[in-house]
Amino acid sequence: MLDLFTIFSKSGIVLWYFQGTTQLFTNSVNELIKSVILQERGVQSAWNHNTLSLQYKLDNEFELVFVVAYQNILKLAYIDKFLNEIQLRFRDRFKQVIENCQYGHNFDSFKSDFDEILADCEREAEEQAQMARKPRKYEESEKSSRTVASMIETKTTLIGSLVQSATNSTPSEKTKGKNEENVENLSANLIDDLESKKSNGPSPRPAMRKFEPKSKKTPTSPQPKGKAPKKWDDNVDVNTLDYSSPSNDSKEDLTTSQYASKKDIGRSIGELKPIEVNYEEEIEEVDDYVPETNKNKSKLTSNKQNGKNSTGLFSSLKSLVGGKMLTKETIQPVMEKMQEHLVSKNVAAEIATKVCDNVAQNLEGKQLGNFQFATTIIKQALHESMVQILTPKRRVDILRDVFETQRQKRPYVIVFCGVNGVGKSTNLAKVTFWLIENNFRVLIAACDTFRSGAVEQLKTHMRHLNALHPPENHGGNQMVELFEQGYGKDPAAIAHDAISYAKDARKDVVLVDTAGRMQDNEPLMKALAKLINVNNPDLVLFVGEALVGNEAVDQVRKFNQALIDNSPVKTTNPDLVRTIDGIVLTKFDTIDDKVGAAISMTYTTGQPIVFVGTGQTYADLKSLNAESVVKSLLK
Amino acid sequence: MLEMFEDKSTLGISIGVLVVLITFVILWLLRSKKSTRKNILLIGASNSGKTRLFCELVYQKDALTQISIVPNRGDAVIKDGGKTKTVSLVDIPGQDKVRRKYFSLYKRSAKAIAFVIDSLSFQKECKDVAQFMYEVLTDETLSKTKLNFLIVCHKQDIDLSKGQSFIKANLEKEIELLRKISTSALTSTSGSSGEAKSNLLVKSNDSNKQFEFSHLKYTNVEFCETSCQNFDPLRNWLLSN
Repeated sequence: MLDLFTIFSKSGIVLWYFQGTTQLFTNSVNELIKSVILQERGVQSAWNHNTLSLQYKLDNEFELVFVVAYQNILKLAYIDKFLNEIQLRFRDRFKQVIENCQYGHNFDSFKSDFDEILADCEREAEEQAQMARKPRKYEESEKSSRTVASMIETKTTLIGSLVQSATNSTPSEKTKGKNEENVENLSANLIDDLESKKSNGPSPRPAMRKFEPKSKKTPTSPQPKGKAPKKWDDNVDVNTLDYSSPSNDSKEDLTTSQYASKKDIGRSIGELKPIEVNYEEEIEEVDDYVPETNKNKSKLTSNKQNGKNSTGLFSSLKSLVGGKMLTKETIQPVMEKMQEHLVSKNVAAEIATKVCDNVAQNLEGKQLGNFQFATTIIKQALHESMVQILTPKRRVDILRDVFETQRQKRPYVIVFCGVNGVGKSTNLAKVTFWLIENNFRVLIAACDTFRSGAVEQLKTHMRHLNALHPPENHGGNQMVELFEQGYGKDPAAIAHDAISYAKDARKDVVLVDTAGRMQDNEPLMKALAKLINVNNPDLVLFVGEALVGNEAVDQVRKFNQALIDNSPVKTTNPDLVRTIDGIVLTKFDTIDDKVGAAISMTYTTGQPIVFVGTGQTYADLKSLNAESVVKSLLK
Repeated sequence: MLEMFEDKSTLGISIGVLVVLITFVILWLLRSKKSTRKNILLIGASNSGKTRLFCELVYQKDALTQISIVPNRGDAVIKDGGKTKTVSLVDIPGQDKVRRKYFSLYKRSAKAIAFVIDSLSFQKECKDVAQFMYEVLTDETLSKTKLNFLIVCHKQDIDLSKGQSFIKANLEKEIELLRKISTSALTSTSGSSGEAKSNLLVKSNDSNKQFEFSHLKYTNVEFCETSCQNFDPLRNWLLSN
């Protein structure tokens, strides 16, 4: 029944394997490692690849992986049990060998054990199936043990119960008065309780609260940003109010506006700088897990003042350094704390659970060293796991790829999509600025043909960008150009025209701005899928704001799903389906240390965060530094 | 003997000083032992044959392999005529998700680095391979010391695989491009990481020329062609290190 069973070390050496058919399985197992184990998605149930179902189990003590594969039309109920048994047997037999990492040892003798366990499990599953199928005999049922007399409801018992319910529902005057008294007493008690609770201070959850606000970045430019207020009196010149005539533009100094100043020029040449996060002292409070039930209020307040309290430390010692091996029981309480902490940092609840479950799965059975606290180990594991989630699984280097398309004499096309008001156009302008700084000629395609003012917004950006980088500095070439066909047209067609125009005009990059759309809007999602399928861009970026919590997962997932569902090749060639290739995380400066959206979005899509928008000026575009994001998450 | 000390306090102090000195010596010995560079690292892109080579060298066995999640460590005993040599090898996983983590963990202990390249799929993976190599070559901790760097063009037994001269030329072209991208920051801001990196990479008088591996300031780069049937060049290189 099994197509493949293989045991390999985490370092990738196959120790022993059994193959039911002659199919090649290395690729399937590699895919499993790549898209499940390395993505930190600990799925307990089977994972499907083509027609195969794969299920795995990690042995963290000896660093082994056990994988089973079978045709996914089969429903094999015994796999979990089988994996457990196999793991135990394999450890027993080769303990000495694997402890010393002697992977060169010959494990062929395991075949007999394997056959035995498999036969056992299969037989047991068979028996259970048999049992479930057969109807119970009458003698086995509960009914058979009862006497006939007990089943007859006599009149007297019925009447008795009726009378009782009647007295309950219509109480006499006397009892009513009594009841009212009772109620009054009760409410008085309640109020007392409430008041005493109030005076005892805030609710007993100290661990989550103390996040000092970080020092905000001081604004770089001394002059006040924004527009000056206009005075509306009688001697306002009508001509100054006319913004439609181009003559006004020349007077206005475009280079020192709210978007950017001259000194920003040249700042973002080359690769983008990673975001900086001030590492403040790590607050240890999450570390010392103290069971809340055995704390009274006076201890709590002192605990808050002194940070670490001796009783708290002692109880954490007792609860966490008990065993030398990490078990489910030791991990569970700490994990719950961690999960709560992640949710408080704006990680979507669903994702926080999944991440923590996976870490728990990776830790179970790990040996603790001397003087190691379980919490520190768990925290470290969580840290590593989240860094791994944020680390891109492939190379993301737009500049390099633009050089490549330049050689091929075609423009590099990036499509920006996302829900309304997340900052698609703004960040598109920032990306444009970054590309110009690197001496690429950019064409912006205004494919937001729906929202009024969208084209004008891009026009304004274009004017500012051209003012910052005048053609004189770039060999007479105008660096940014806007391709627009007004409102109401088909965006896919505009994008197509823009790309062919860019090809003729020897532009290096085409940035396609699309209309914002909610993820549930079916027709608009279809239009987006059409735009992407028709034009086949080099990069599809999803723009999402860092402010969202649980919503982030839904947005990204539905956008991705819509692109898959509306793809013309989804049945014929599923490998060619275009999905989101990367994420732009905007409004990152507004969230302080609640950076959870970064984790939620990358976990859901498995795609990297390419850009991070961190402010209002053109130069406020950064790349993501996984290490610093995780640090502020676990703070 | 004990009467030499006039009172007990002198004895106590001298013993105390002695103990402190001994601890310092032990600590120093331990630290110096740790900081010695003794490992030879096997690095490269995923699916280039690092783990297979590692098995051949350490266990003398051609094992099947999967994608590595954690590094392999082991001692390879290499015999050449009369002399035998034990080399401690570390095989770093090639997956993008984990390789930086483990590379930075082991780079301090690296004596020499063998960069394994899949010659068959080199053309397809050229950009990724070059990017990784550029990262390694411009690494600050590594470039402070002289380092032997071997580029192993693996899987030569397959017919369509590329030769070492082709691989060398393409890598040089790619690294030149990457250098251009990261050093374009030179024109405006001074002292940025881009400039520092380019300085690490090549000797100052070669910085304006097209990049070649021979221009590298510290690293001594060699090339060799191997396959799983015949990896003598790699073995000889290991012997010489």
